[in-house]
Amino acid sequence: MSDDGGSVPTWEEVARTHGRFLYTVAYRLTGKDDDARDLVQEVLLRLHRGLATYRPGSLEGWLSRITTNVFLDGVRRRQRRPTDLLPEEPDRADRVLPATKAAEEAYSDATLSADVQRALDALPDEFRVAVVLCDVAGLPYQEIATSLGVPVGTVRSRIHRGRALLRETLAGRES
Amino acid sequence: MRPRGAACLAVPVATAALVVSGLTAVPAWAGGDAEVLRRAQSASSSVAFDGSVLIRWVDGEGGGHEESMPVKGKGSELELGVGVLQPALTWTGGVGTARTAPDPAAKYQVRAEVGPLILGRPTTRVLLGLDGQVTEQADVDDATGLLLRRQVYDARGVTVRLVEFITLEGLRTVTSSVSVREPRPVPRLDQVPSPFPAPIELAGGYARLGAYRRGPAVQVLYGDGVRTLSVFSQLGEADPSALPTGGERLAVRGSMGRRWTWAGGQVVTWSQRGTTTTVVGDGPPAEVLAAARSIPEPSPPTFPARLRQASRHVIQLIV
Amino acid sequence: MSAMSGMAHPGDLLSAWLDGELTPGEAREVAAHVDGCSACGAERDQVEASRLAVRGLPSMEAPAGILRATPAVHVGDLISACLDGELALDLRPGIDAHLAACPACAAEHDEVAWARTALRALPLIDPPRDVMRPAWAWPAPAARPTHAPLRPRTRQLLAATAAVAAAGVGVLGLVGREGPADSSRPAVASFVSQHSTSSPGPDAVSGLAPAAMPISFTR
Repeated sequence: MSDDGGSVPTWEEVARTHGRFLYTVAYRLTGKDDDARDLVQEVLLRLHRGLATYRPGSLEGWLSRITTNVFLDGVRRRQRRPTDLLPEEPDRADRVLPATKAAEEAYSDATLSADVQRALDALPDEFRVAVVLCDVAGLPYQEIATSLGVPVGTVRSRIHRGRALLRETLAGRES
Repeated sequence: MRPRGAACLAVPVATAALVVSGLTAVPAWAGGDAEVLRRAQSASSSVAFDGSVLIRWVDGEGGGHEESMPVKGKGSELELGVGVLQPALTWTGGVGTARTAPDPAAKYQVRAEVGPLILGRPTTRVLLGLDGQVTEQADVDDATGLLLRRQVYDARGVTVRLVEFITLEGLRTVTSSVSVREPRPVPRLDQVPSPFPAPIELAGGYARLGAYRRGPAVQVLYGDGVRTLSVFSQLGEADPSALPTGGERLAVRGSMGRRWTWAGGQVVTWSQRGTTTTVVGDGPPAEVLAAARSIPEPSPPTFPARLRQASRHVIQLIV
Repeated sequence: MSAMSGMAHPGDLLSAWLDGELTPGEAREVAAHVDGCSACGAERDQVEASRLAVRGLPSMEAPAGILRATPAVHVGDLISACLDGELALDLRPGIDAHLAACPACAAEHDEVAWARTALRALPLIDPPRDVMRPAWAWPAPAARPTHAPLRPRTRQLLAATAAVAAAGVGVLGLVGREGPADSSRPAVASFVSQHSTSSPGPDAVSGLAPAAMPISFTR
């Protein structure tokens, strides 16, 4: 499917060509398979209903923007009705692509991946969103800034602090 | 549901608070959130709609099944499914129990929180816990109270049943001009005839709600506020050729019985002392089995009782 | 990161002020201080220069050496910008020089670079198949032939029992006090249907939908 910069892709096209990307971003944002599914379903539904205005540019940037909006909508709704502890929900293991490395490396990669995800989950929302959009979705700062509606300087600062916090959390686990 | 083990990396503030309170991996549950569930109970009769639902369920061997069907809410009646050989199930209300079901909060830890968007609609999520583990999750539409998604989990946290709306349109408040169809009355029993057992309560917090005559059998209905369970008793040893094929053999109170899974729950049948008992329940397998095993043994039928039962049996079938 | 010393020197707030993120009240206070404080004014110039560089505007003749000259000004989030290639090339030598001279920033650089690498090494996740095939997009559930329900069995049952009844009451085990056990034919599918329609749990739809399917049993 070509990025012809004008027409809106159908939800089927998006599901076919960017399904993995969408789900990965959603999973890294929410940390849970069930929530990631709901997020992706809502994004596809918005595409299906023609509720997302397409602007020419990076397709992945556009998809990331919609996903982030849905995610932040949920965050805002939760803030209006504060809840304390989230119960532990049945969680499916990461659906990780099969590694081609040696078994040991692959195993340590898999556990590191899970550890990094848990550290991501522990980040405050605004830091997690910035870090995921930069390091998982691979968007440039300016696109992240447009998605979130904040200045580039803020994006830079959140990414930086998010990464630093992540490292702190992971270092704390090792000791 | 896996307990948080060493694989869990960061200890978020929330979990730290749990450990402080002396409970591990158990969320704090608030009371009073059962109101959302009560709303869901009556919602499908207070709002009309046109939709379809998806049902997913797991059988006793762990195999997954999936089915979808149209559902129309017409206020006073609910029309589910459509088929060539099987007509739609039209439902206008239950049997009307003698006792109201217990408060869910008596058995479950009930917790409501902001739920996900389902079909673009904001929901409230109600979680039901047993001993700190989530056993059921219900996502209720904020606007209408319709239960848009319901998931039942077993003790390991695996989803055993999921029912959710996949399309939902034409929502409108019910108008008074909708025709009301009277259900065929089911004969209610004030007393369960001997020798059938009908304890006030079964294991798992199931309270007796009522008893009904169902042809040659007697149905005793139980509920725990969220789930229901029926105990069908009839005279005679079960004729194996009359039972559904397949199923799993298992022991119930020293007798050999059979257990089946169906899309809506569990069925267990066994015979003991001249009485055959069939238990049908909505809960996860272990729960239904525990309730079935807590039914006391029937007394051996007396001669007059067998005579009564037998003649009624014959009359019922010939008529 | 710049050392915070209350509102005497704005420190970190300088960046926020320049980004327009402070409330009007806070902005006024910071502006007032910077006007009157030469140290903070100089810092403002440097920070402004690097921010302009990041935004892609030509940098204002800020020599690369200026960052090295004032090691108290730590580079902070410019480290991330540098790692992500979001920093103007002419500023990079200055950053590198500072990192060489400042152990605190060098350590911060290593931490953040590690986290960035770990994050970028995260694998793509294969979504469960049904997520990309949302059920609302399936063809509408239409009338489809279902296997026949109970009636044939009931007819069989009637025939069998009628035959038994005709053979005489004795067959039903009424002879003697404890005759041979009666055999009963629990109509399991019927029971399931009756149970479901009695009182369908937390809500009618989820309780009845399974019962509206042809009732079949598995292990």
